[in-house]
Amino acid sequence: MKQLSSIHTGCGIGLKPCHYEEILQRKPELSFLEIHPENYMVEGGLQLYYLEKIRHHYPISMHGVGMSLGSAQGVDDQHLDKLCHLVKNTSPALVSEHLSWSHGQGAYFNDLLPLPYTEESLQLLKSNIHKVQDKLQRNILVENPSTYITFANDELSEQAFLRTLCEQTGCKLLLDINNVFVSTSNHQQDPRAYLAQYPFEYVEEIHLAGHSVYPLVDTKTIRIDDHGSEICDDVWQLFSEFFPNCKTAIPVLIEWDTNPPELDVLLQQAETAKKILHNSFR
Amino acid sequence: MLSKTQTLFGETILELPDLELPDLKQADLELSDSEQDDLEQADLQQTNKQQLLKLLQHYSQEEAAARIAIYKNNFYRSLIDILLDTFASIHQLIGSKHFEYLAKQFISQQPPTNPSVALYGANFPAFLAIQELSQQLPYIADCASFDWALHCAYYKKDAAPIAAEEFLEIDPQQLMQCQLEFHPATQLLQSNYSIFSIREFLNSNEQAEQIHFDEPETVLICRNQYKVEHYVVEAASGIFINYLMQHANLEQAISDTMAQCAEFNPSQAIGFLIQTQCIITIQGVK
Repeated sequence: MKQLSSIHTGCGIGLKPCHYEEILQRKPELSFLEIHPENYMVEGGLQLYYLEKIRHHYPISMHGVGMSLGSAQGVDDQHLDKLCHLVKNTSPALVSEHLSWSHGQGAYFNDLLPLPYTEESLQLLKSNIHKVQDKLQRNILVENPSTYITFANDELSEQAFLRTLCEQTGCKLLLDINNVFVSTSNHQQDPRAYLAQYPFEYVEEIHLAGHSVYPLVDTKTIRIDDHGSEICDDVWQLFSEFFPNCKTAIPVLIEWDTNPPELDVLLQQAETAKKILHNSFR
Repeated sequence: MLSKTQTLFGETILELPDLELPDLKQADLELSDSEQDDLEQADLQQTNKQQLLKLLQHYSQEEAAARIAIYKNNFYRSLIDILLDTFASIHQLIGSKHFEYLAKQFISQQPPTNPSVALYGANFPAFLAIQELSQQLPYIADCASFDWALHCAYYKKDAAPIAAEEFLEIDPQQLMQCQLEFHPATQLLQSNYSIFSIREFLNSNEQAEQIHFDEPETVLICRNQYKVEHYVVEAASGIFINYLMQHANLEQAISDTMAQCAEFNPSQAIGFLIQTQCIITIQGVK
């Protein structure tokens, strides 16, 4: 029996229903598969059937989009219970969430909404992360989001905010290099300057994804993190340059959520990432 | 402060958009005339959006509004797509433009309350029932309930059906005193409209005038392992299945059905239930 409760290194892809059968038949060489746990918080049916089969062949990473770690009203107990149940049944190698909020006023906004990086937000995030980690009895990874606004009352940089969270809660980081590129571009910042200040010592997973560019106002453009295309050259370049900053070879995920392509397209992207990864840690 | 910021942000996102929301493109990221008017009235009317814009004072008002519009667009677009997937027959019946118009209002009035959005839209049929559109298309809410029942059946708890032989092994007199437990995915829809025929029509090339929309039809939705299936059933069988689902024993269900429909054929109805594999337990066998 393979040891599936940890991922030492290598590349994975997001697990999509359109690829369930093909993955089981071909069993491509991947270090792990990643799911959004919210899609599996159901009573039964085909998704849970396939997850159960597939998890015996690949380590699973659970990448949540609904915990709303930044909600001023705290995390939702019911949602946390559901995640805890799924984690117990599935034994994922990694559990991650986002530095964002999505729940408030009784509504769930189905998006990763931005937070002001203030001392107040920091205290709130610490409390919510502690609650999640205590319930799950494990550390979670927190991902830097793609953002389209910054707040005038920001007191800390995103990197300093993340570092403090790690120091004070024991959480680790999921570094999304596409999000770094998208956010810094949207806020007229230099992604290399951002990454130079990033606390790589806490990184335990990397995400790579595609995004789109749209006009904003006047001649300005905005990058939107839609996970619906191949990874762009700029993001590959940043990955090559900064991956060696990680303390060791860590898992790298190819994310593609919108209109997923043929499995082979994802496997090709994973191959490209693998080459960079191997060159970095020879 | 954070709580107030999130309230302002949330309320701004939830506000019913004035914009048409077709596929994300340039138009979605630009201000509509009405949004522009709002901004010009900033000193007169402190809307949520304008209070929020104060927190984003490092942008021009126009740019801040365009940036917030991305979040608003993500919210509406993603949920419209979920409703489109779930209520595909309503989309076919009324077309994209009308569907999105109604979906936006529904989302604004009844946003999701939890992150498992795969099961968002439970109240969409009831919402459709009170729209003006349902006066022209009185069957639309029932068609939406049909879509919803099919959708939910995929996610219900797994259960193994009992085999036909198990029925045969039970003494017929004893069987009459038993209750039948249905697979959790099983649902019975009794409509005053031809919901099954309408669905068949939408999946075929038939002409609309060949369908009599206002003939009552009963539909049974089952899940055979992981495959969701649906059957049109005779009115009498529908009444019988309904009694069984309300936990009547077989004898009582047959007797009550026959009192309403003299032509009811119990053997045929029980045979049909066994064939659809929707019975998972025979309760009361000694």
